[in-house]
Amino acid sequence: MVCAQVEASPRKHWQKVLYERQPFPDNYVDHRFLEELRKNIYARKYQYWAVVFESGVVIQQLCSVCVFVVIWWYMDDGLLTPQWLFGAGLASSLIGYILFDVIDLGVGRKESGRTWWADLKSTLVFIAFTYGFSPVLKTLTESISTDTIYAMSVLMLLGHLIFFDYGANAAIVSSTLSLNMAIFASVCLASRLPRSLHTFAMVTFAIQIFALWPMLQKKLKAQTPRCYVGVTLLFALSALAGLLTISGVAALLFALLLISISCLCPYCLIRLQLLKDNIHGPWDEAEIKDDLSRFLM
Amino acid sequence: MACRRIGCHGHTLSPASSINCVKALATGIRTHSICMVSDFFYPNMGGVESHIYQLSHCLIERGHKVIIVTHAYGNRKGIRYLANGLKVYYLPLKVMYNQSTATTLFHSLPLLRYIFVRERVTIVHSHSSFSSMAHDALFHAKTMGLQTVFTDHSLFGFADVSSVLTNKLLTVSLCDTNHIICVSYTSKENTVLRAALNPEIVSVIPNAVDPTDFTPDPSRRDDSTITVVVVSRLVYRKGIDLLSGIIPELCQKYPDLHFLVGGEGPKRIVLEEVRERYQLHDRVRLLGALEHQDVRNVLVQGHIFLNTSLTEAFCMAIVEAASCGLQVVSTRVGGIPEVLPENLIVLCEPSVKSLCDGLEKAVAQIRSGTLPTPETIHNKVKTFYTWRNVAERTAKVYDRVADEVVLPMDKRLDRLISHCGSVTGCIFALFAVLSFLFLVFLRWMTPDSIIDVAVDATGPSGAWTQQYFPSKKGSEKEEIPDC
Amino acid sequence: MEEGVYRAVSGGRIALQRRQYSASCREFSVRCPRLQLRSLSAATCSVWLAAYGLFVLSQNSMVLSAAIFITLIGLIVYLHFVKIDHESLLVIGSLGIQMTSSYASGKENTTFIEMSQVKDVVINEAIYMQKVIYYLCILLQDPGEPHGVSEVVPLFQSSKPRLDCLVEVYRSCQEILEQRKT
Repeated sequence: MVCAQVEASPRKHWQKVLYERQPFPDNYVDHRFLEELRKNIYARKYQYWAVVFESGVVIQQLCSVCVFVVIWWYMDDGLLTPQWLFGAGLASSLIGYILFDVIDLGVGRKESGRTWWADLKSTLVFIAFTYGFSPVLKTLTESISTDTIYAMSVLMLLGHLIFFDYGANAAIVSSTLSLNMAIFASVCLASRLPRSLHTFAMVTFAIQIFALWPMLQKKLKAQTPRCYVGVTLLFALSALAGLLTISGVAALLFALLLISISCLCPYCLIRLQLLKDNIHGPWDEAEIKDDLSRFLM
Repeated sequence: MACRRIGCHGHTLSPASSINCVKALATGIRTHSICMVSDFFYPNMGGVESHIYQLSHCLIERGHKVIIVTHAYGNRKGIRYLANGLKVYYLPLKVMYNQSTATTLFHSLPLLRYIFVRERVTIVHSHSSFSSMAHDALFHAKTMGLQTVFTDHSLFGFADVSSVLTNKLLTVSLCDTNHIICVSYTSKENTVLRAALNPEIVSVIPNAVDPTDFTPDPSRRDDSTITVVVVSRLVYRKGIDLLSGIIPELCQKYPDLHFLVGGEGPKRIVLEEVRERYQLHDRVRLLGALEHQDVRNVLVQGHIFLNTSLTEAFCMAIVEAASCGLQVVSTRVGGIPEVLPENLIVLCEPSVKSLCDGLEKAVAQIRSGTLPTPETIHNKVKTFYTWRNVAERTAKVYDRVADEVVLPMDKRLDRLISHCGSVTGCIFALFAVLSFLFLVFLRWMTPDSIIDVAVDATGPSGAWTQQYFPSKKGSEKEEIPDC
Repeated sequence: MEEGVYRAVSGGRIALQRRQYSASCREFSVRCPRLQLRSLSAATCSVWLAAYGLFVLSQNSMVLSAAIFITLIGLIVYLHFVKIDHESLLVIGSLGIQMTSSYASGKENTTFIEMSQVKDVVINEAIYMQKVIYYLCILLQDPGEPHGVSEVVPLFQSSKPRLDCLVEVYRSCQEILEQRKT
């Protein structure tokens, strides 16, 4: 037994036990003090380009918002007819739809079990409803001041960006809330357009860019990363070009924002990661790693 | 010494025996006037509460003067006396969250100062890092130039925002505290890291249990089956989710295994679901909340005690169970490995599989009859932890602290700024200055000389042991029966 | 008649008068701290200054006359209903305990407790404002229970003497109560 050995030896060794009276003062500090301390055991090492690649999601979403606002601006100024927007949107949606299945060679479709026919039906129902309700949407916010509408839209689009599911596992992430905010913003903005057909085109476009486009992106990113980088770059450039036609200063600021998010922020993250000092030890609350739900199935 | 030979029953001790004890001790031992401060005290129930109560009693028995300061619990406010003249101040302060008062660092100063002066307190001993009143009292005591001791009863992580903030506050609170007491070596490591302390000023003094309250009674258990007892609050931190995995796993394997679960909490529903799902109504009994005096009666009905806690500074429950002669199976977290020797406890990793293995090992030992008898286990455990020993070691800390100097104001400000970081340090240095000015104002309003010195109920010259007035001095007296 | 000077909890000077009429009949009278001219003038001045400020703003002289009336009425109300000049306690061993508080205006408030109702006279502690003070109180017997206390009647509530003064009174009271028992 351990105790017997200790008692036999002339110089007792300190033990990390409480049940034995040891010949040391209560505030004795042994050389084994804090030997179970571990630092940064869960810290991750990041590669710069990997982080830049991951930042693509944020860039994409920022650009989506930018493109949406630019399109709305064109519509408001009459530079873009609703028929043209609707046509272009329909065409690009169709291309995207085909791409969506082509990328993973139909594996995702088989898994989800949705048929083409079901998709077509829901598309038709949605378009019909939006068309039918667009006069209502148009007059819905008539009694509200335009400034309020703008402020609300800005707030909602910001909210959309904040709550969007960028892939982080955090409590704040809520893709439904994010999508709802974006749609709300689009309805607000669309109601300030001249005619109900405009409204209809705008809301449809919002659905395409805020709901369908991120789904396609996610698949692109998972299946063909190279292609995804290209698409992101192209999308960012087109958003910038669109913004440039409206305001040079805004385009410059937006470009700076994109660059800082995609290049500067990853750099900062990696530098700050070096300063990480996370302490672990026996005092940490244990985590339950088992899957306990199986017992309640 | 005479004192040692009397069995330690902190609270059941009759006044007569404590007088003898005091007389025996009064000659050789330095006595202090100690003020225990914590938000947590009876009628609230828990480890900190019983620690303060038992420790105070054993300190009074050693001849020290002890008073307790806590906040008002419902209708219980003002000044109360417990057994042996232990005086408790229930201050009318607002409770904010989880029985903890709000901390403003100032609002409690007038009352606490008045109490410290009238009771002639020399050492302020605060308990529990969750209690803001304890931190307030430390802060005021340092402003008033009194010696301070702090006992930490809990473990804390370092990872999330809330612990970063609380740890910072703890750093501020403990950076100029004279001595800190922790209940286990793991807790000491944790506190030293959290508050960036010199480990030399941190002592380890474990908790204790009253062995006379937890005696084995093998006749109460049914030896045709094997009963596993769990007594804990049914909350996530106690690992009740693990328990919900263990119960079906083992019940399928051993048809004669029964579970007895005492305690109440939000996770009770999980256990009820498991019981429902596997049709174990006759084998898993949920007893609900237990009074402290009923715990022993539940423990003695079992063969194995299971503890599934995910974090624990010093687990009183496993000592109580071992004292009742049960084989203990527990998770290896926090300070638990330090508490019991290896032959009395089966330590497991916090996972369903490991805990099931541990329980199976214990079951096999019971079936083969290789376990020592409950009586042998009890006799062994009762020598490990006694309140008398705790009080003796705590008194040593007081002796040491009493010889130390309390930092004067300028040194205290220097220490705050140099030790707690520039921003926090400066903010709290400002608070320290404000609290000092407030104290000067209070001293001007009511000078110490016009504050009546309180009649001391305890100690060698206490009113309860001597006839202070021609007739008895009447006071509202209240005793807590059997805590 | 003996007279002793003590201090109140607030630090003010109070006088304790003891009159012994017989072995079982004593009277204690505590004279409260006197109304300070300083505090009286401070209160009056602050009211008048406030009134003057209002007058400058509103240019209405009614404010000034109102202020004078308010101070006068306030003073009368204070002396008649608030300010207690002295409190006395008359203990008659065979009869009971009578407590009288006299206001500065001369108004008196008297309460009498029959001896059969009195269980004991004790000194207790209480938290009062930001202070912890001792006070003398009479415990009333609970008619239902022989050992129960139905009510606690605090004594010398406005003068609030300190412990040494309370002990004086307490001792005398206990002497009389002892006689009653034997």
